Amino acid sequence: MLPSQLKPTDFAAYPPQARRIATDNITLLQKLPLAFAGVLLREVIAYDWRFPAERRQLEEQLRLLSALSTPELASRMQGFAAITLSSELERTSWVNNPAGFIEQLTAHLWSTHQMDGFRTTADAYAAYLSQAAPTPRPPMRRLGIVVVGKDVQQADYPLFRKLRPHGVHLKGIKPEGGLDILLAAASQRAASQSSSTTPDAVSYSHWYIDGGLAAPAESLTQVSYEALQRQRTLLLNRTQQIIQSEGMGPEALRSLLAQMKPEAVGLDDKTGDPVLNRFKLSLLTEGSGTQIFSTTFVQWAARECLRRAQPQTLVTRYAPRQQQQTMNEMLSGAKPGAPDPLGSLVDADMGAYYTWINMNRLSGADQMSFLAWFEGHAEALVIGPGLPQGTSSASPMDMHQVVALLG
Amino acid sequence: MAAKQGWDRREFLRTAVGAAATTALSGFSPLRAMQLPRGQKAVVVTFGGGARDEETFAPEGQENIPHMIRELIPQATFFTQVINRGILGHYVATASLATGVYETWNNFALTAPRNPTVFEYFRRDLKRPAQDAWVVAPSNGFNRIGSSDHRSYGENFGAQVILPKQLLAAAMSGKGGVDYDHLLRDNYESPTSVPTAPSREEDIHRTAEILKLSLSDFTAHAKSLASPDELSVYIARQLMQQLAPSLLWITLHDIDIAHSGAYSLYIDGIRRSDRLCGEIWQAIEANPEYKGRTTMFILPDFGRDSDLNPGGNGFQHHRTGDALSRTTWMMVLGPGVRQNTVINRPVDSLDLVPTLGGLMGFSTSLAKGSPLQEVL
Repeated sequence: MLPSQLKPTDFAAYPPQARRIATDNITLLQKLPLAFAGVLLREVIAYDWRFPAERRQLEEQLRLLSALSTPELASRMQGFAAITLSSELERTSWVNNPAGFIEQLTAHLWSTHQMDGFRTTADAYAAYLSQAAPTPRPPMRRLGIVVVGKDVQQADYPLFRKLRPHGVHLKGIKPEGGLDILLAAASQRAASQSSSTTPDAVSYSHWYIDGGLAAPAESLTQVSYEALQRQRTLLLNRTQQIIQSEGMGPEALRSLLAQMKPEAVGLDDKTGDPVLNRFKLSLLTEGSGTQIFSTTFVQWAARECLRRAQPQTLVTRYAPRQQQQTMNEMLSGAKPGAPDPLGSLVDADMGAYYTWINMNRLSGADQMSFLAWFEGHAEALVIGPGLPQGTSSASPMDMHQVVALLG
Repeated sequence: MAAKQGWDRREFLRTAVGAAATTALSGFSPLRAMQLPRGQKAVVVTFGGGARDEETFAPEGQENIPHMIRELIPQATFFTQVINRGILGHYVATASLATGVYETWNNFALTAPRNPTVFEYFRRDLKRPAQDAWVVAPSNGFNRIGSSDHRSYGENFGAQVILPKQLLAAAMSGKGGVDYDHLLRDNYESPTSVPTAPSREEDIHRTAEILKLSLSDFTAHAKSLASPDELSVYIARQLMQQLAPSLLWITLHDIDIAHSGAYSLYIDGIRRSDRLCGEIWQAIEANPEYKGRTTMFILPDFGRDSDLNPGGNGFQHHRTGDALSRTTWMMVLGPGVRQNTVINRPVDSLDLVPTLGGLMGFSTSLAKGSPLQEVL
């Protein structure tokens, strides 16, 4: 089937809000080239469980494209329309399983040497979107805090090397009570906003992601590796079953994982938040290594949180991951290996850098503040408007003073 | 931006090693091809799977590769921009390196290359026996890399492929193997491709016999090794000692642990691969069958995604096809190869096969690349 043949009934299996979005925009969808329509429908079909920021972006995109004249739309879609697709791809159930379609499309683009062209087209389209429908600046300056090195007593590893050119390398922090102070500051930001604006503007705007057991923190959307232990075990069991099934290749594994429902890993929509449940599930099913290494989990969760929820506050805290074992052993859900605090510190250091990069992709990046702190130690790196770059300071200061630097 | 970064990093390398940059292709003459006696040997090491400049030869990465920086680079001609324009999956990319044609099948399919491999060209053209071309490879899908299904070439002209993990798994069969699990790690990209032991016990014993390897000695030695790549290099040394093949291809793969997202383990893999490359060169220099007549090529199959590409997740994967994931390096060292020389012009991954052909004197008629005159 091609997009031009789409009918409202084709979306009957979509969740209610997604179905409404699709049918309301069916005239537009009918005019799109298949490669683009499949990608767009992957967003539409998940609309009911998307974060507010994602919903806004999708609605804005649909509004923008619908407003184009037919020749303008055709011109915008020219690059996507030029991609040669196979009849096999056209026959896939791309309406009801756009994620599966994209898996096959990706393999097709690689094997036909069209991946570079597709990427160029996609980049150009993304640039057009950001220019024609820019994301509004956040109501409050964004703040990112990354806490690394839990349980590391001493380390020779030179921390924050990639971040140092962008901020102040602090070496005289009094670490006492540091984590509590940082979480309290983040909670206070969330609380202050919820009392001054609409609930929708606050939803999923202030986050705390922990690689171990989360410390108490109010008003923050929380995700932690430890809290998902049961889900990880169930997922690994399912993965093992799939691996042991004959004829089940990696693409099939990915497709099956992508189609899993939260209840399959014990995430109950009746008692939990359905949007957050699906986000948690996606971290475990779409992230590589998130099921076995807590450091990978935190880094990936931060990336996805920033990309999707576009929060104004994000606190991440790394905890020691297990030592490397055989991949089969780790995937089988066997007893975790002993913790590797020093290796985890190196992982977290890179994770802090990636979080800073990802924050820079959001609107208002020129005004954001960022802190990376070696937990329990005197060392940190702070970046923010008005703070010098590429400098260091050994001045003694407690964590309250560090928070004050962040503005 | 990414392309510029890659270029800048290579400039840093030039200054770091103090090598003479050589860019004018016309400045080279075929100094050695005619002078060297036949019987030339070549060892190809793929520094895999997938390493970026910034963790290897860029200034900030050089601390991870002390053996290559201090011991090998001063003896080598170093190509700073080797571009892979093919599919960035390890098996299909390694197969493309071996055929000189960008193969296009699904990376996870257990299939033979469509185009003749360098082993087939070598053996058919030079009428070399089966024991003169070997591949030592990780077991995740690489077992078909020794020969193509091309009707004019094929298995009869291919390389012998040895999969050390399969050998160890089979040797340990039924004996319990907790001490060896760390050597049987497989495929970080896909958990569904697991090692499969050879189906026939006689195959194992035949391989062990060829290598003059007692299975009990092998398993005892394996216990002291830290990773699958160490096991591969151990087997490669046995091959060199017992059979001294003229064309030996070693595929390292520990680095691909990067797919798990743990940066420290990725760096550990690079450091281990660096050490192993040094050890392979030492083995060449210590073996009279190889010393003075062997050219070694070291190259990653490709890079990994840029930190700055929003479509990727930095070092973890090689999915975006951006400039950094496609651009990598190659080191060539051996008799007659100019030492401490940097070549900055972009070359193609596919150039490896015709270069090997030019070096060893066989035709690579269906390969797409061009011989690298700088090392011929």
